Amino acid sequence: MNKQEYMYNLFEALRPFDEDVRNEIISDYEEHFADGLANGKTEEQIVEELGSIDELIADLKELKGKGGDKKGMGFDSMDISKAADSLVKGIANFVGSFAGTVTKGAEKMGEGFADGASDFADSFTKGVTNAAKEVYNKGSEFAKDLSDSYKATRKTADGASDVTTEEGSGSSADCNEIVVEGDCANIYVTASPDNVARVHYTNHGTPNQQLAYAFECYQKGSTLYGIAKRKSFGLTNFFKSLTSPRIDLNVEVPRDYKSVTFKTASGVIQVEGISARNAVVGDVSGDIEIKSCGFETLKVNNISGDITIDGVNSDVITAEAVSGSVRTAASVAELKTVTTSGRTNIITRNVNKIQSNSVSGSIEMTLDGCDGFNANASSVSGRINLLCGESNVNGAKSGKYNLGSGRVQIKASTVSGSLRIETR
Amino acid sequence: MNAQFKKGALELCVLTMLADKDRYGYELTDEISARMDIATGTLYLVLKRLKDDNLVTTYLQESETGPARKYYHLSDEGRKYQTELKEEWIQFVKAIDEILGGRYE
Repeated sequence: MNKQEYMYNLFEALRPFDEDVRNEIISDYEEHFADGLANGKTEEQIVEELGSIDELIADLKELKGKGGDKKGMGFDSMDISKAADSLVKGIANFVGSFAGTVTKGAEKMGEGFADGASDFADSFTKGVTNAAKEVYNKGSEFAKDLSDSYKATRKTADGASDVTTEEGSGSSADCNEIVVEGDCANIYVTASPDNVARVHYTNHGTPNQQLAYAFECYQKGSTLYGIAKRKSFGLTNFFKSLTSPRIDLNVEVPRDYKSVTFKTASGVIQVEGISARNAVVGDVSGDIEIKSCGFETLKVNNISGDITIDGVNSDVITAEAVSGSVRTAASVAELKTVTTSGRTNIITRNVNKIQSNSVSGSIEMTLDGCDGFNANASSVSGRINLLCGESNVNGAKSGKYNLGSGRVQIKASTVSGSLRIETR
Repeated sequence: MNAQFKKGALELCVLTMLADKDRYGYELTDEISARMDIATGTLYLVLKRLKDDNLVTTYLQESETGPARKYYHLSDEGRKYQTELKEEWIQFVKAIDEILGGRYE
């Protein structure tokens, strides 16, 4: 890519941002090109070194907060002074607790080994504790200075202390979509009693952990966003983000929303008693529980956490987990589940079509009020059992089976897990 | 490398390079990117953030070769911040080093 193309792409990518931000970056880059060329580099070389525009935009968004037409309240973790004060304690605690862990590990290593190991652990602990103390002492001075300078430069610091939790919230009465995302937040969703959508943020962490996270709630078009995420502003934040605080996002959703999205990385997600056309729920390591809800489509993803869908009414449900298990008890026309090693347990009513895949997990299906199914069942090393009224096939080989009326279409496969399909 | 960590480290590098004299963008970014595998564009954002936080100030100055250049100057707050950040960094690296192999007393 040459300079002209690169600058054109940059200009286009910067469109959503304020004019002064745009102009500043464009002129910085223009200057950089001029100097680079004067130093004998080619345009292509400079483009290569400047790096990806997408990444720049992602960083810039982080720096500026979300771009676009914000409405409603924006809320940023405040009060840098109080956080700075305890930031360093965090470092000391971290280093201290690490040493503690090593000591514990050493104790567990077995008797013959224990003496030497605990000597080692003792001296190790001492060394680290001293280092931690030193960091702490230096840090207190630093914390004080930092708080002063920030007080001088930032109007948001209000000097409040002794706050145990940090809270923020936003709401809207004229949306029909909602997106709630949290890095390490637990998300609890319930029905709104008065048709107003609300997102309430509570950070139970220490002051410096509170500082490390930001919550934003705003409306864009007809979508309400509630986003809790780790902030990024420099080295200090690296220390603060070593441990995650407990963060809760309490969400109230009005009836029959067009779409609802709830995502987090390490928290639990619980959704109860809501209705919406399309629902997307995603987690990485926390458990997901969806109870007594009505949707047209429901998509659920998890990596290591479990997925439980209980008492849900939906035309289509897709549930995917890697090592977590999937359990659904739902009235659903079309159901699809995928796991790698997690178990799959399905109870359905009114179902027409099920597709269920796993690699090493077992699959169990119970079809309520069903008079028969047509199953394409396969398992390489697991046992296959199919039961429908009087007709039972136990220890079946992989293949196609028609039991009873054969009404429900089932495709189920697992490599090493067992497979059981049953009507009742 | 952890993105947060990298950004913090870059901040420290930029502040430190500005501690002895004012410099312009290319000077700073070229020096740092020559030593690290990093997108130069990221450094301009680091500079922007430092400026937004009043840790550095900028001014324009004519250059002999081309158009005026934007120079970065470390503010008093920035200087204080750099000193402490550097100290914090050294302590942190020491602590890590001790854990890794006890190279320090």
